[in-house]
Amino acid sequence: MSATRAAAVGMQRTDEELVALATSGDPESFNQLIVRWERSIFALAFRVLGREEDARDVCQETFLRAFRSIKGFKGQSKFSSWLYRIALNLCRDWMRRERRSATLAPLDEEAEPAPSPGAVRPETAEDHAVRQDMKRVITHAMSALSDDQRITIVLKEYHGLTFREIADLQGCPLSTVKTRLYQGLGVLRRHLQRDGVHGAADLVGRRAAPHGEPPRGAGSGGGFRRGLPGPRRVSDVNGESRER
Amino acid sequence: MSQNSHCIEKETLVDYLYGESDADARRRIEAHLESCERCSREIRSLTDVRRTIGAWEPPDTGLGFRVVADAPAPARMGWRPGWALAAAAALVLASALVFRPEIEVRSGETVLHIGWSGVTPAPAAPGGPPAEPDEARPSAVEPPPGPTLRGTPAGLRTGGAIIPIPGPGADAEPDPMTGDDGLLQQLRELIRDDAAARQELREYVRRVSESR
Repeated sequence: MSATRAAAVGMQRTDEELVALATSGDPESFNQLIVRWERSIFALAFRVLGREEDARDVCQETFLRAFRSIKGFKGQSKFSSWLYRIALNLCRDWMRRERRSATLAPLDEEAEPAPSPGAVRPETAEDHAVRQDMKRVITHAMSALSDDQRITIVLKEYHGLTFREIADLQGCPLSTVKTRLYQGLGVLRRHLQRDGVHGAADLVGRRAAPHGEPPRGAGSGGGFRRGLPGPRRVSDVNGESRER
Repeated sequence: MSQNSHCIEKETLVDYLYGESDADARRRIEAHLESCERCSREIRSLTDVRRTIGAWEPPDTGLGFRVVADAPAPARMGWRPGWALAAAAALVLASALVFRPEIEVRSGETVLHIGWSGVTPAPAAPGGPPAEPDEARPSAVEPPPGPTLRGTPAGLRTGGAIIPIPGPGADAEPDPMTGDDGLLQQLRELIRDDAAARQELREYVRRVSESR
């Protein structure tokens, strides 16, 4: 770490310091907290709700509520845990209000645009197609989880919370958290296998493949691409790739 | 794999899977995995699932939320009681009957505003409400001065509600008269004289104003 970088890190205020400043009426300090945590809160909401627009709304509302009630935050928990709690409550409200629990949007609605030729690290059409297929398969599997299972898995897998932190956030015993994780992973495994992913090694092998190298099984009806949900057929993607 | 619980309790397995076992438990589990292919397969399989779902990234959307002021929270339509919405609708309808959106025609410009319309009744626009008699207007309100002609073009009645209400006398300053303005002034006087001709002339004025 360079001296400049180390100095910058050393000057960076902690969440607690920024909260104290924000509580004393400094909105800019709160804006720094937003910069620090908005991606994480958005990611949490997106993986729980499955829709980008809703996740943005939840993210914005989370910080709005946090700002308005910042004086009520006494540091009983980490600031991030406090934000997570607000965001999860909003997610639950959203799911309850919309009466569409566990309805993750089809990936096609969130399909990313094809890679542009001018990208810094250009992604081949094959890589892009594999990544999109993988997202579709995972989204499909995640949609099969109960709300509690999905929230538990999201908090553990993507946010690295401890079992105790998850139990506190969900208001349940530690054993319940572990049961939800175990059962949730089992549900995911069944759906991933049903969608053609017989084991992550198959998929990871594709992800680790160098750019331009055809993934294992490409064009030969390999496991990852067999029986994918959704309208995109891999043979079409392969056809496009071969034409280039 | 449901038989797995016969070897390793699932809570213990989850602890191990996520690296939250203490040292003793980890040693016991690893010793068991040495001899139990079923449990080893279960651990590998769940680890694979974890690695697979680790590829699920949220969209790289632009966020950039910022607090700019501690403004009061905007009211949410969905949380308002039905009676409040009904009352609001009634208020809007009542306002539409009293505060009439009107067109003020000046030389070279057309200005929409709302306010007390004491000069003329609103014409019976196609599909619109019938014109009210002059007696129904508030008697305390005098016609605004100035060389203006007023009419209520169809389709502007509700739209006028979003226009700021001008203060009294906002249109009191007469504009320089032009040929058209002179004609319009005459028409305005005729309107005052003959209630029967009022409707017809307003229609004419409306056409003139719309043709500008």
